[in-house]
Amino acid sequence: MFIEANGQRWHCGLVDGPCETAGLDLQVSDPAHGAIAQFLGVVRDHNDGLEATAVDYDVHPELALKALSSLCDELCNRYPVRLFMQHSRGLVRVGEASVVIAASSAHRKDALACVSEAIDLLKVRVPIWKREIAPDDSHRWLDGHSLRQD
Amino acid sequence: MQIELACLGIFRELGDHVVVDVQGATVHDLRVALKSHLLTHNEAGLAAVVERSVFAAGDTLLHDGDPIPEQTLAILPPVAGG
Repeated sequence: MFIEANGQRWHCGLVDGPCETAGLDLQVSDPAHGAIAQFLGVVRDHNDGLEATAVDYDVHPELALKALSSLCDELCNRYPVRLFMQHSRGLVRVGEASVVIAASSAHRKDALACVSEAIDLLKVRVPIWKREIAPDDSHRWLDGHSLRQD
Repeated sequence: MQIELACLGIFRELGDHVVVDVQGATVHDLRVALKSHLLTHNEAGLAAVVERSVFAAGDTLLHDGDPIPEQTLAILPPVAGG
């Protein structure tokens, strides 16, 4: 990872290019935890009826790490989990992972709920932007969620 | 005064930075100036995005009533991670 942060029960960061998906469970393994839930966000070959070959992710590293850390803190206060979150910067091709999230807990419900909430909140809080690349190498920036609060 | 903004997301279509002449001292004044700058340069689409964007100084998001800080600023359009 080119930038990362740790808490007592969480680890998050940003990586250049696609996220590594192998061994994700090891990031949150805990002998007291009997459940591990994982989410892989993978670039698909179409969006809104248009073909795509890749997504180029733009990131504000300082703000994104701050937002990811705050999100991990919030989720670990809400759920008794160990949590790992990682997002890509730069080019990620179809089939490759742009975001990986893993959570472990003593029982399955907390891990599953935490991962589901984590990806929902990441999408609306973390300063990351998608530039979708078409087969003819043209591109378009995808709209998103405003961070404006006033 | 002239303010240099780092461009992110769709604002990168302008380049990595844009320089705006601002009449006033608040972030609201900066927002007005950026919209005006974009409209003058035939960028009505981006001007519309400014209303849904936030300005940042380092790792701090700014509100419209804040004074414009004396450090590098960035313009952040609506986010779309995942």
